[in-house]
Amino acid sequence: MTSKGNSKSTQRKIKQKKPSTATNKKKMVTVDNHVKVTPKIEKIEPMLLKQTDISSVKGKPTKPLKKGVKRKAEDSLVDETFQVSNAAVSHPRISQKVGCRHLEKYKEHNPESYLVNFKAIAELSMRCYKIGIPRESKALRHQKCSDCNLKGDRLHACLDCVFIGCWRGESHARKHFKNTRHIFATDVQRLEIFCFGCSDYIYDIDYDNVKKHEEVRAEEKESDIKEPARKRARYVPWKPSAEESEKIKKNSTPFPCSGLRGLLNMGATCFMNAVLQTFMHNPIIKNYFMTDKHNMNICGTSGCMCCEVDNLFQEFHSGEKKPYPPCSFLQSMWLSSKELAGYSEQDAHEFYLAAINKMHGDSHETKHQELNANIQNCECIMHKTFGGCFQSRIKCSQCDMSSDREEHMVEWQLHLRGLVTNQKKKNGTKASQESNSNEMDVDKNSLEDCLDRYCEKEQLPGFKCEDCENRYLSEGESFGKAKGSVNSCSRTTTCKKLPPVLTFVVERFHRASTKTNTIKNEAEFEFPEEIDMAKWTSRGHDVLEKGGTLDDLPNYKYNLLSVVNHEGKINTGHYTVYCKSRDRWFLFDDHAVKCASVEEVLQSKRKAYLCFYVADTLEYDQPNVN
Amino acid sequence: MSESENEQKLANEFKSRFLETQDRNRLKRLLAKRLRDCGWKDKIKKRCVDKIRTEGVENIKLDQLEESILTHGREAVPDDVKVEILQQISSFLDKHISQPQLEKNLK
Repeated sequence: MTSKGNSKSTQRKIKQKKPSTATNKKKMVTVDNHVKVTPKIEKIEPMLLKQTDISSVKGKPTKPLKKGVKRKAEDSLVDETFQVSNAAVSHPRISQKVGCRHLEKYKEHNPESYLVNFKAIAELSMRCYKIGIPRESKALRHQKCSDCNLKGDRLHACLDCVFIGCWRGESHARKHFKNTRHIFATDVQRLEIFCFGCSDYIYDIDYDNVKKHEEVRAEEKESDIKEPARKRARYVPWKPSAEESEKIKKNSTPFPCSGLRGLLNMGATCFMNAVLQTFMHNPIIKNYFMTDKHNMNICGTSGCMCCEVDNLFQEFHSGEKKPYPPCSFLQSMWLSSKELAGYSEQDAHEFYLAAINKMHGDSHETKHQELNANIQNCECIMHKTFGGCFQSRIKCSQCDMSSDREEHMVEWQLHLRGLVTNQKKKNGTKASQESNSNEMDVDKNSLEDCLDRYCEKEQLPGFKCEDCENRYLSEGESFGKAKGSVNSCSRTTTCKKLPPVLTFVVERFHRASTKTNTIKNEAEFEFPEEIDMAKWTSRGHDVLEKGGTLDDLPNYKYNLLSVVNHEGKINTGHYTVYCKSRDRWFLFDDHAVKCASVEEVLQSKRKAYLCFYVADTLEYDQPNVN
Repeated sequence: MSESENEQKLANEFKSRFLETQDRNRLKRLLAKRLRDCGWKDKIKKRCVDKIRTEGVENIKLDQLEESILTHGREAVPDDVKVEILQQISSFLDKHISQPQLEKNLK
């Protein structure tokens, strides 16, 4: 608004030069015979010039119309601009691109006051809809259509007088225009300007600047009220002068925001370092913390695990190259879960689960959640990232009864075939039973194979089908099949809801019974760089069972994100991790960070323990209706 | 009083109740949230932008745009959302239909 006085003075100057431009214009028009000159076109021309002018003079877009035109006329460039404008006139689409003619006129008539009303409306609106200061927002919140008392229904305020009208149905805003010829109205909430002359919303940079200005003021006010202790500096737009920008260019070096940093081993804490590195390079967790969704300075709870992760993100992106010792993180971890405390070596998988639980408990989103709230709809960042859902379906082959049960998951445990079967231990688990039954193809252990096995149909010996039994009891012998329904049931487990980041846990550590020691299975586990999960989803499974194809399903592609490796023996192993950062692979070995290649990552078949895959495309939340 | 008149009166009564109790605003906010979450809003926005691109910015007015998108937009609302909102409305009706003041008004 400081430019107002400025523009006035230039306008006065310009007036004297007016005749010259007029003659210039005429000349050009007569030269170009192709263009039919109508009075209407002449009207548009000055505005056209404004457009071309603005694009050529950078950085001063708020310049009022006339100033631009006349300046150009003085320049030697004048012929060129007029040619451009003439070409545009013959092209109706371009010629109309100038914006709203009505608004230009309106501004001419009210050079002083055209923004005043809008500013007042914007100020109130921002307070009311953006920050909702209770006392002050009354003015607008209780505002309603002046004619029909309808509240909050796309209300439009007139820019000329005190009138607010509703939009839909009878549209009192439009009626008001018809009665009074007040041509502009602004949406009270969105602050867009509607021109009844154009019967469309219009854009104008002056109004937009006012809107932005009020937005900033409202934000300042909001932070004043919410956190009075933190004094927020008043926003003043700054544009570096030529001298300043020269200095900036000269004296600054580009800041590497790579986010790669090693973590010091604090005494057998490599299990923690490995998992933390995967969190640090997980795009979803990264976005959450980098957008300040959990700010450690504001939260301030001691021992809060989310704050610790936030702190790590700050350290990782501080530009410091030295490895970071995650002392405070370790301390919070020790205080919160007793099993992981102490200097003994721990399992990365256990740490992963503990970290999820702890961060779930500490997050802002779960503060108001009930204790036994459904974990599947949990809003916390960890469950939103890693939480999916299995569906196990029990089906009876005799009566076609089927019942589904859903189970929340944060990891997908994969059973390996191989060394364990040779031990001939009696495991009650599914994996060993299967591997005993078909020992022929023992050594196939790719991710796909494991998933196939996971989702295979599994007979449930000894499981009674209730439906069959009831029918047997009620219908007696006439039911046909005798009581032999005991072995007719089977179970299939598929994935009902895939999480954005899929975690596969390769079960390398087997404990056959309580008496024997745990054994590490070092069988090869092959995993691809990208995988299509459609086959193993409940939806895909159903489609395949009916003989359909998977082509119509949504995109279930996943890309490899990071791999945690375990080397060495069960009790004295070492964890390292491969992570993908900005499309490049890195190997994190405690404090050391090395470049790696995809081939190298995929070669760690015997060591891979945890594999993280991230979804190719994220889906919208499906609305849940209970 | 004839049947239709009675109905009309009842409808008007509910309408004003709906506005008074802020339930209307609450439902509007809920609907907006659901539509945003399920991607409807982005879909419609994309369609509008495409329409404007093909027609040319200045050749299409707000009314025309609205008209061209309206039927499709209504159809594209997921059934779940419709069900939820309708449920809410009917529960509102249930809550208010038993109140004596309303009955008195109708007599």
